[in-house]
Amino acid sequence: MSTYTLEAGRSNLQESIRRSYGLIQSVAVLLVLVVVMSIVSPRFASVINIQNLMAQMSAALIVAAGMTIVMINGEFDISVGAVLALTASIAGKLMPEIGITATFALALVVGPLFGRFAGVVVTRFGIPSFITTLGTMMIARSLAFVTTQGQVVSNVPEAFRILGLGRPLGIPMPFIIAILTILAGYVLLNHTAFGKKVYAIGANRNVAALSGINVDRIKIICLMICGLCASFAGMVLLARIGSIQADTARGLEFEVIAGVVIGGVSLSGGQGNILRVIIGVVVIALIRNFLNLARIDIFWQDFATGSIILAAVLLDALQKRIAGSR
Amino acid sequence: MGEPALVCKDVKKTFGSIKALRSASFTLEKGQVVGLVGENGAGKSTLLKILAGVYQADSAESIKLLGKDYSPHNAIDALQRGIVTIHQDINLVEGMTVAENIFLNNEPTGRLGVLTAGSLNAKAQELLDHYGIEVDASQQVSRLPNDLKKMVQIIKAMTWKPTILLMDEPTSSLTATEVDVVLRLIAELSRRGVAIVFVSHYLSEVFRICDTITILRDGQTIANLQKESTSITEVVQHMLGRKLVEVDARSKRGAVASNDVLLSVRELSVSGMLHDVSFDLHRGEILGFTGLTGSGLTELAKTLFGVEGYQPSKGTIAIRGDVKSRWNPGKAIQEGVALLTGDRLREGILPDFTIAENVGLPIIGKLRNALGLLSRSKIDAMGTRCVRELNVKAPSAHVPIRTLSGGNQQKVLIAKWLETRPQIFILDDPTVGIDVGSKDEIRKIIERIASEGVGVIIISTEMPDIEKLCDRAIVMFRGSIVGEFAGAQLEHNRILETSVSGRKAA
Ligand SMILES: Nc1ncnc2c1ncn2[C@@H]1O[C@H](COP(=O)(O)OP(=O)(O)OP(=O)(O)O)[C@@H](O)[C@H]1O
Ligand SMILES: [Mg+2]
Repeated sequence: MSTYTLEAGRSNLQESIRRSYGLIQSVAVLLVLVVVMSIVSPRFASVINIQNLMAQMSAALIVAAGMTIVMINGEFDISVGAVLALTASIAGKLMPEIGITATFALALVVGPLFGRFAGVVVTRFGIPSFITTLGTMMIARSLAFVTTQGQVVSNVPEAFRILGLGRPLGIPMPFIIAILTILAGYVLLNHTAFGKKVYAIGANRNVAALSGINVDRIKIICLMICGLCASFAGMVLLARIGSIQADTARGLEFEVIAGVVIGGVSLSGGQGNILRVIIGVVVIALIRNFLNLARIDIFWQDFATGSIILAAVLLDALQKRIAGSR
Repeated sequence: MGEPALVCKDVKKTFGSIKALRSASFTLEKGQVVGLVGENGAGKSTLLKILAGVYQADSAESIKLLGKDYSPHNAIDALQRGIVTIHQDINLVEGMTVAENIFLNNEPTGRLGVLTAGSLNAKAQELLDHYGIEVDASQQVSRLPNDLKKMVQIIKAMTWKPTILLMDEPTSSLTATEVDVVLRLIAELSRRGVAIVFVSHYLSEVFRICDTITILRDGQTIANLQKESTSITEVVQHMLGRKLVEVDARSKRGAVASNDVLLSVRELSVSGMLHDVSFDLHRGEILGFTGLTGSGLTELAKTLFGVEGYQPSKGTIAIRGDVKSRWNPGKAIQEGVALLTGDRLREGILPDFTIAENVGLPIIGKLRNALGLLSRSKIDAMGTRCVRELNVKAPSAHVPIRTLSGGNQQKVLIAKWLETRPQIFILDDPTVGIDVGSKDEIRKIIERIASEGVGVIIISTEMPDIEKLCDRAIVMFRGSIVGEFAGAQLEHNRILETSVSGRKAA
């Protein structure tokens, strides 16, 4: 018995090292990336550029919090970009009329409504979430165009814009909000019963159901949370830019999914660490920024990002295979 | 006899800080059957996995295959050298048909190198029929009950034409008839010169078919015995390192069962699975259910627990007199019902969750601290208690459950349901993969909770479980109840006869 406790101490340490191995690795990749970029492009490391970067990636980070929860649960939500745009469009229109608070309250209902609708379709009729949210994506995008009538919506009250333009300690407010959102996601996933259920369903929905977990309910809630994040990101974006167009954030869903996957969340669900997702999203944003600074032809930019995503996913699969055969 | 088929000397293997094998040695002669036995976590599966190329040994004085050095780098390596393994866990592809599974990566090529689904099915069917297994080759594996999956896994191994066959608990969760098929198959193969390693917790089977017996304890070979010169008692003593306290066959607990009806089932039918099943379960009663494959035992358990896809088409389930409608596992757990499922891998464990997290899953909502957040300390305390009380061999409750041996995973699952403090505890094949010593411990636990008033339903095809433990046994046949035995009537010959014939013996 006594030898066991001794060994247990050591193996716990090893286990935690093994577990954070992925995290250490991604931090390393990030650092290398930053160093290389600052050497290649001196403008990269400037304070202004870093601040811009932080502000720019905040919407993706907020959305990634929700996406991580949905993907750990074993589903996808590709309607996030469209829901973001719809929310911001509605808010942009309403705010001058009904004021900031009321608009906020209404806007934050948009995403959860879409999430709930998709969730019910997914659970009740067994339609894959990828397809279901493709449908809701198109609906949301169309409604955004209807709302704005294809015009740019501006005249957002100045008081509201503090949310997007404030810079406490030089850090852009949207970035702070984004990090807080991720931290909230962290607490939810790792320190609540709900979070454990999310992981359990993603790992094996049969086992979860047989343990008395209401699988459908949790799935619907996950999609609602993701919708909430999308709407929230829309509000933060509106505050930062001060205006909105219906086709804002097109393709955001894939950028976010890519970040989440690079952040180590399993495509099949059940595994992943939301803190590591931050790094995934940052990596994608850095690469985009770098391609801009290096004046790479815009038409080639997606090619580069796509290749990097593929490389990351392949590397992950390779590591899993090696670990599995050991 | 010539040179031995396989010789292992001083094989060592560690996982992190855990010494799974300290020094394992045995010799396998051509055409012989070696029985490899030992407690849960003794290292049996690890040894077989090394021979199968799944793991690499840390070191070994020598492993020789037909006199040549042997250290397979992967599973394909091993297969190419004629070593075929039937692993402890069923590893079929659920979404494929039986035929596709049987010939996966080993397609019998037609004349043009192509093979139609039709001829694949025909070939598979031929094999199944040859071994007398009643399965349609074109059926999806996911639809099969556990025992038939196991049989398919065994047939699949045959298609590789082994010269050495490694079998890790091949007969667990099989019915008596199927066990006979497997044991006859082993005898037949060994007559043809195939050398076989047979891992099992069923010592009667080991004694029936093995020539020599190798005993592992804590990763070490304790003894290599000739069957003729040893006995079950001696083997058990070697396995445990102590004498097993003799439990008499019927340590009947006296009449504990009361007249209070806990669960009352009336004319319960599920289309295509159950027909007019009616019975009562009383407080403190241990009620056994048994029958052949396809008799509807697992289906009955799932229906009682409200599992999705098992909605009654007719009949009622009443708990303490209340008829339940829109029944589901969540509600069942709230009403004090627990179900230990028969399929550990697919319906039991979450492999990457720790022991403690697996145990806490059904009551996760209750494990909160003052802030309403998940209470690590409560989860930890519960996990640690379970590891201790059920003697789970693990360094702590915080290791992923996949690192445990099969039998130890099963113990954790039993603990998981005990933690819900059930009033009605349904156990489907509870002692599958569990060693002799632990089996008695688990029987004692079941007797204890019954004496505290819990109603227990045990679904098992193992007569000793039914005979020793149950107050009453119900036999099912093709989804219907065909016989009930209690008292002196509860005796395995009668039960078996009823199971097979579908009629109660006079
Ligand atoms: N992948 C792994 N990682 C860590 N520990 C492991 C791993 N596989 C096995 N072990 C440990 O090695 C020991 C031997 O396990 P093994 O599966 O060989 O036992 P077994 O004799 O087959 O037991 P059972 O009768 O329960 O199947 C156990 O203590 C187990 O916890
Ligand atoms: Mg084993």
